[in-house]
This record gives sequence, structure tokens and C-alpha cells, in this order.
Amino acid sequence: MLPIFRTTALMTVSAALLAGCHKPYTVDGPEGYVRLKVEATWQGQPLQAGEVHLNVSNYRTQVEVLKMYLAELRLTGPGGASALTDIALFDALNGGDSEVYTAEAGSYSGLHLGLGVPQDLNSSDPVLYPVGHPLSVSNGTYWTWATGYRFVMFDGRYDTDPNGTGTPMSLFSIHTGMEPCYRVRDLDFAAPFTVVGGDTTELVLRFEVDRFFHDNGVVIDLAVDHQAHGDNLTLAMRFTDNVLNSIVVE
Amino acid sequence: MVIALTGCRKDELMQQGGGAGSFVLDLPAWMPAPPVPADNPLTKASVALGKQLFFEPRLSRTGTLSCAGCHFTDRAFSDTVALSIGVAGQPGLRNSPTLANVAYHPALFRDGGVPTLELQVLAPIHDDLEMDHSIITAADDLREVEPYRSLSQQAYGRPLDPYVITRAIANYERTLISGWSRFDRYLYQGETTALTESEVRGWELFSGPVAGCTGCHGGFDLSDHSYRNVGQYSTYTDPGRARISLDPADEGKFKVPTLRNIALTAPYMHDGAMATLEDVVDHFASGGLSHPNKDPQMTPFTLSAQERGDLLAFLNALTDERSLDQVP
Repeated sequence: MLPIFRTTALMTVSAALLAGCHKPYTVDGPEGYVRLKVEATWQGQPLQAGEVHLNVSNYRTQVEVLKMYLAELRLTGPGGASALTDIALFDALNGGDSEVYTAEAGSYSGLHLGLGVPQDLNSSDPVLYPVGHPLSVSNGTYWTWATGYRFVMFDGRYDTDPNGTGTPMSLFSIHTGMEPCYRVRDLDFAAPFTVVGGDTTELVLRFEVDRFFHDNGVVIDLAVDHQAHGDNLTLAMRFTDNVLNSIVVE
Repeated sequence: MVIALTGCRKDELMQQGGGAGSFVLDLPAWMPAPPVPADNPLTKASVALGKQLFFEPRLSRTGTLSCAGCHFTDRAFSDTVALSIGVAGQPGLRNSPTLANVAYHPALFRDGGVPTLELQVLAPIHDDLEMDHSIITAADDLREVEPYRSLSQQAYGRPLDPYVITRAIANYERTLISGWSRFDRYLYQGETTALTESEVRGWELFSGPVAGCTGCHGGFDLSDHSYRNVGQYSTYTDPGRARISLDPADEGKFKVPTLRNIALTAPYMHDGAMATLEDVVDHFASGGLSHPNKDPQMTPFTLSAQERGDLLAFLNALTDERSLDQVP
């Protein structure tokens, strides 16, 4: 059974709605659309590739790549659920990435997601998918030696000298994958939102990247742990948990 | 994959596949047929295409390295160096294994990380230490080039693309059959004169309780395809099977290689660290270095000089007397 995280407290952000002025339908009604936007921030500000920030260890940190698979995406609520997609690949930097999905019209209060690729899809043959599909070999996300996908790809540079200048010279590259790194989470919005037939509702998933390096006082020290590529499972799993906990819903 | 050990008669094997255009493997009468996926049957067109692609250097980024560049036909489709050199001029991570009888392997690579030959094709093409390329780009470059344009249509009814490349090369690899050594004639066909007296003594040592080699190197492929730690190192830099299973108990375990054509496939071990068969025999006779995952069958044994020579003679009798390549 996959580990399930449940939020124990409501997220303290508002839901941005682009709903029309129509009377909401029930979940059995016509379809609407959901634009799911994924973006990265650093201490509340949009994160651009190449920017240098001080992380919790006081290291100058420059993120260059942040991509992730999200799976089993579905809207949830007391009236029912509506599946958005089985799998999606997002590039979270530089303003983020978005996809539009159809959804059953209705009132919802949450979003279920998987971080990574679930096992049934993870054993796929990537050549069976066309270019443009999230699981296509064209995405460069496949570990050919292990017949599985990289779940979260986090690459960049760091410098342990907080007063250093120029481009940090040490590299970090944390790629998670394999079944132990797959996680699911149910996100609750502060207030219910409505998908209206024919209209588009935007949901924003914000990854607070500064939180990737610490959780509950436990720090990932890049000077010690800066590489995971199917090995270093301990780091990969800790990192996965931090990423999962960093997601904020708007 | 399940290896079919049904011991079909040769005439039944000759009927495998059936239908016009089928490629029928030439197997010794005693040898079981290898598993072939139903969605990629062996056809003359697919194996011909696969052979062309196997020798095609444009599958690499620089256009200089084909599969055959690390799997030499006169080396039982293995390499001559410890670690093969890729297009970037850097060595790979592991020794290129022989492709003899690879059709029978339940999983591919020395750590068994890949379950099918079709999936295996992707790895060397995309590995930056090997061909460092994109199979999509390679397909784009070759699609309109003959013979690929024609063969792809003949074999799979579609233009060359990653699907066709992986299926065709896999099928060619399935035709690389080893079963024609003097040892095979001795053991399976009753030709008692096929081996010298020294080689027969070597076989008795190999299969006997002292050396006990058949504990792992048994069966028609002289390998049980399991994963074993043979105490090559007390500390491994390469995790081996553990990289796939994520189980620390698998650290240092690698797939038991076939010993077929072993005289041709030096250097030996997962990293090519042992240059000669003498080195290998001496290692196993020593019982290997201490490691918590070392296989319990790795116990030391003593060989006289003659016995050592007999065992080595036997190993040298495992070479096929004909080409592994059946595709014209």
C-alpha cells in the first residue's frame, strides 16, 4: 500500500477561481476545465533558473532544473471525485508549467495527487508513447538501466561560502525514482471551489523550493548529500518527503 | 520470463513460428527454444533489420559507435577490454557481456535491471558513457535511408521509429545462439571423442563436488542466471543487484554469466578486472574475499597443477565451432 499523507491542517491560502457567473452544476453535470499550474517559489517569490539564494544551511544555492511527475490527479470533495489525468510531467521553474484537463462540473474541496510515477506506469515501455506524451522517451526522464522513470529531477549548484560570488561551482543532482520514492497526498483547499460546465478553473500548486532542504528541523546538507540517481535511497526518500510537504495549494 | 525447458525435438523446433516470412532458429536438437514475445515474433525481415541496426554506428551521437563496437562478433559478441569506451572517450561502468544465448536470460544487464531485450536496446543508445544519443533522433536520421526505409515496412509495417529499432535489434539478438561447442557434442550428442581426456577430467572437476562450478554454472547455458556475490571484493564500489532491488543483501551480487565461449570473452568479471581464465580459476579456488553477502558456495578448494590444467582445458572446450550469428 502506498504511503498516504493527509494534511492535518487546512492550507492558509486562497483558491484562485476563474469561474463564470453560471449557477454551479452538480458533479453529475456537464464538463468544465481545470488548468493545473505548477510553479516553484523561493521564500514566497517565483523561482527562476539560475538565481542564487541562501538555503537553510547558508549555502549559496542555484537551482537549474526542477521537473516532476504528478500522477493520479483528481479533484475530490464530499460530492465525489473527478479524475484529471493519470500522469503529467511539469517543469516548475521560470514561471512554471500548466496543463488543462476536463473535469466534471461540481463543487470540490481538494486535490489528490501522486508525486512520481505509480508502479503500473513506471514499468511502461517508453517507446510506446508518442513524442509529447509525459512518458515518452523523448522527455529524457527515463532510467534505461532500471526500466523506470525519474520522479523528481532537481539539479543545480551550491557554494558553502555564503559570501562567495559568481556562479556556485559545486554541483548537486537529486533524481528520485523507484517504488519507495512514490508518494501520494490529499491537499485540502481553504474553501471549496466550483468547476462550472464550459468554464476553466485554475488551480495552482506551488512548490516552496527553499523547504526542499529541511523539514521539521532535519536538514539535507548539500555538502554531504548532493547526489542521488537511483542510489542513495535514503537521501532520495528524505528529499521526496520534503518535496511533498513543500506543496502549497492556491 | 520463463525459460521453456521442454526438450522439444528438432523437427518440432523447426516448425516454430510458422508461416511465410518466419525466421526459424537453427537450434541443436537437445536445446530448448528461447522465449519470444508474441507481439514481436521472429521474422526474416525483423532479424535482417535488427542485424543492420546492430552494426549501424549512426545509432550513436557521433555516428562512430554501433552495438558491434562493444560486442565483437569474433569475441562471442563481447568486448576485448575491461570497460568498453563510449563515444565520449570514457570507459563505461561494467564489462560488456557476451550476447550468446541472451534470448534465454530472464533479465538483462549484470544486475538484471531490465526485463526484456526490447527495453534493453534503449540503454546503450541513451547512456552518455556509451552511445550518448537519442533513439528518437537516430530514428529520424535513418528513417528515409535504405535499407531501413524498406526493411522497416517489411518487418513492422511502419516507418523506422524507436519502437521498430528496439523490436528489430531485440530479435536479432535472439538469433545469437550458442550450442555448438565440442562440449555440447560430448554431453548432448554422445560424441565421447569430442573432448580430450584432459578436458573430460576438467568437466568432472567442474561438475564434481570439489570445484562445484555447476552449482551456479549449470544447465544448458552454463549459468542459472541468478545473482551471486563471489567475494571478488571485500568492499564493492559497484552495488550490483542492490542497485535494482534496493536490498543491501544484494550488494555485490551480479548475474551469473554463461561460461559458453569463455575462452573468447576475456577479460572477466563484472568490471573486467580479471585478465585471464587462470586468474578466474585461482580466485574461485581461493574461496574469494570476505563479504557479508558472499555466496555460501564460495568455499576454497585445492587443485593440483594437473587438475588446474584440466579445468582450464575444459573451459577452453566451451567455444562454439560455428558463428553465433545465424542471420545471412
